[in-house]
Amino acid sequence: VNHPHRIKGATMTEQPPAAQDTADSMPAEGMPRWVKVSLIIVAVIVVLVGLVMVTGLGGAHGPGRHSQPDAGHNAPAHGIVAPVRIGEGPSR
Amino acid sequence: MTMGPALRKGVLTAHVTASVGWLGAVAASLVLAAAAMASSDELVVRGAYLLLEPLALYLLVPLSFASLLTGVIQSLGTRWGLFRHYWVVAKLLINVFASIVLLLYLRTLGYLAATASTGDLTSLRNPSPLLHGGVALVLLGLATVLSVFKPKGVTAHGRRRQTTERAAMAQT
Repeated sequence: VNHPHRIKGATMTEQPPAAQDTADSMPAEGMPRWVKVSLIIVAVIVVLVGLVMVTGLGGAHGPGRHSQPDAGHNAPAHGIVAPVRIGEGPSR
Repeated sequence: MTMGPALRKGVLTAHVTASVGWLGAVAASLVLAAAAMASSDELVVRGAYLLLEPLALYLLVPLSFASLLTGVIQSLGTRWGLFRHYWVVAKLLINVFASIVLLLYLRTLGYLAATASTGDLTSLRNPSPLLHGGVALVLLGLATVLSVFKPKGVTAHGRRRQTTERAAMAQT
């Protein structure tokens, strides 16, 4: 029998339970364990990424990394042109 | 304001379409990035870097905005709310973070596309699109899992709203 306000196994179209329906079933307060674990994982990742960026282990990073011709190792050497196909110029 | 059933399902359909479409487009860009790294065919490598930019500009960005917009409308138009349940907040943060990184990354994709036809092939190969695409795929996959399972957990704001609603119900 489908209860109109069930949460477990809820599909994407279902509404959350009304306040009165959950008043007795929910704990008074506190963050769920999955949220705490997720926050810890995110914090660890942020610290690791920060360390990699600060120590320079990951090389230069950021949206401007490839925007300057001399900013990264991918910069093409000036004067070198390698067409995609023989007999055709570069398309861009 | 709560939406009616028909409108709610319409917005939900748009949100699922945009979000899953975004996930699929990220998967497609990941395939291009992998081909650019692994292929021994020069044309494939250069073509992949040329295609990544329009794919991001005309598919990834519109789908990310559509997913964000329909998600916000869907949450505000239902009792889920935008900040009442942890899983909704988590999805919002994932969506906003992924959209911002995508917008910032357009510059890099533009540079890669600009140098795709002229740059030296060895220096052209770049693991960055593969890394960014992989992280995006994981994040959007997590968002999909959150949407399906809707893990329990009401925020402090959500509890205050529930208290207010209960008080209003008690008065009627």
